[in-house]
Amino acid sequence: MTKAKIEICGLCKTFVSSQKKTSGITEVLKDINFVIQDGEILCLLGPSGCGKTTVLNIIAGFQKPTQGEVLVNGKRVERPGPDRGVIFQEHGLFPWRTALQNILFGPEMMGKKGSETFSLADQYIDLIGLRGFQNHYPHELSGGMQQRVAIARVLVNRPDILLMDEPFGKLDAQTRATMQVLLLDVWEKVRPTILFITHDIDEAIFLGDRILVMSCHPGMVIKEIEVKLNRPRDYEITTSPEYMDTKRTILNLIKGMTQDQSCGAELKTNG
Amino acid sequence: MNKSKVFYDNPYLVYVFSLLLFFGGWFFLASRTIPLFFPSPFLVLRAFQEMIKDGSLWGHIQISLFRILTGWAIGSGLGIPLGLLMGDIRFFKTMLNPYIQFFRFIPPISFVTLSLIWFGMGETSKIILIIYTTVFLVTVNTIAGVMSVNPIHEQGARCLGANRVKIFTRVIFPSTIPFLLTGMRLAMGNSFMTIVSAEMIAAEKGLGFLIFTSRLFMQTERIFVGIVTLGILGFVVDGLFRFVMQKFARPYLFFFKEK
Repeated sequence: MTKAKIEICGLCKTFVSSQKKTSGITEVLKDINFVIQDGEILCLLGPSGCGKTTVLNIIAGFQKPTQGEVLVNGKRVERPGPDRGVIFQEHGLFPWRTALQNILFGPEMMGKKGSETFSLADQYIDLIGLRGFQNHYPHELSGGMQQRVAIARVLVNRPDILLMDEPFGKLDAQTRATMQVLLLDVWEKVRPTILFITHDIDEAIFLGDRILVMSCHPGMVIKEIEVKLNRPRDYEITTSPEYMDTKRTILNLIKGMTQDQSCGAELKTNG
Repeated sequence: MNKSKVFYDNPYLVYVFSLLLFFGGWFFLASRTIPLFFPSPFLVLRAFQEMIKDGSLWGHIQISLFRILTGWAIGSGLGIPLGLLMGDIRFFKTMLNPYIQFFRFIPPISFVTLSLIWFGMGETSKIILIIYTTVFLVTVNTIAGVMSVNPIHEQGARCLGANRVKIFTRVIFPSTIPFLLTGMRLAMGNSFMTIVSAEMIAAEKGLGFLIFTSRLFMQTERIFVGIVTLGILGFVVDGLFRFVMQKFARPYLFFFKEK
């Protein structure tokens, strides 16, 4: 009963560099094809510089592909919109607005004010665990808290899709683990479709329903891996045999990659 | 017993020390020459007393402050929208930037005569000079503010449903506030410098006028009165501006903490 939420068809992206010494054209993405099903969490795993952020930027509508197209709900993506909430590695909160005012930014843009909006924002403040911090300015919050506000700010628009670009990449290991559990918890309750970009193998396995592994120069999807771990998940599963199997598969894949090219070695493993 | 081990840990004591040194030096230098050349602090203080008593100092202060504040407000009022427009729309920047970069380097004093010919002997010619000295600084700083808007803020706003106009009013403008306030503060300093040249010719009052006419009557101590008053006034006005900034624009200044 699943249906395609996002379809990526023959995506290519090349950049023309202005420096004449190096070759003029850099191929960032080459023929990317994949489908994200409604309500699933798809992780895009790849080393830095493999073009995974470019894929996200194209889906978000920030960049145009050189070739190919992205369909969201069957419609071609032309520009950014509140149906696709983006969460960046840097929280991107407006420093002059309090946490609550940041969360209310989206509704404000759509001309929604009044008590209904406030109670909606209130709901997400509870869901994301921000109670008591609503009136803090971003610089008064810790990295994890800032990222919570960023997630709530996007969720309050009720998007079907969350595009997450290494959102926990800058957090310390402990906070990152907490945030991963929080994200799964929110996902269980709200059921958005999530594209999660990471270079952390463990993060990809813990969160994803499926993992697409990318190579670089040019960026291509080299393998799709299905994660057969039951939900809801907690940290117990990271020691289960299925988890280990999946991790072994990915590590072998990267080993093969590093023999071909140099970039696969940048993928992150935690042991 | 750990409190202020040495006197230079206490800023107030250092202030007192600094002032003692300053006035001591002044006394010393003044004692070695004649008052016409370099009047002692006492003579300057007496001149202050006289001018406060006959009300003339207050008159000079009033008119100079009026010119500075009016010109500065109008100049900022022109510079801010100009900077926003030039920073946000490439066409305007390309069109206007050469002139900004050209006039920026021409000091207001070179326009004193022209201003008199064009705008008459009245207040307008003086205020125009203050506007001139304000507008470029505010414009250039505002442009810098628009240029340094964090692209993630813009992208974030777009995917939260903001259109072009909303991005301008809710993201670009607020990000620019610390920059344009800095521009205004610098411009206030410039206005205090320009007021002296603005009141050099064809003025009947004002601190600049005071400094220039005292020269004619060889009242060196009155020149000192004018200079000291300008300094104190600038210090006070800048302090007020900073206070108002902190009071009403505090959240926008957090920008600097984020960087």
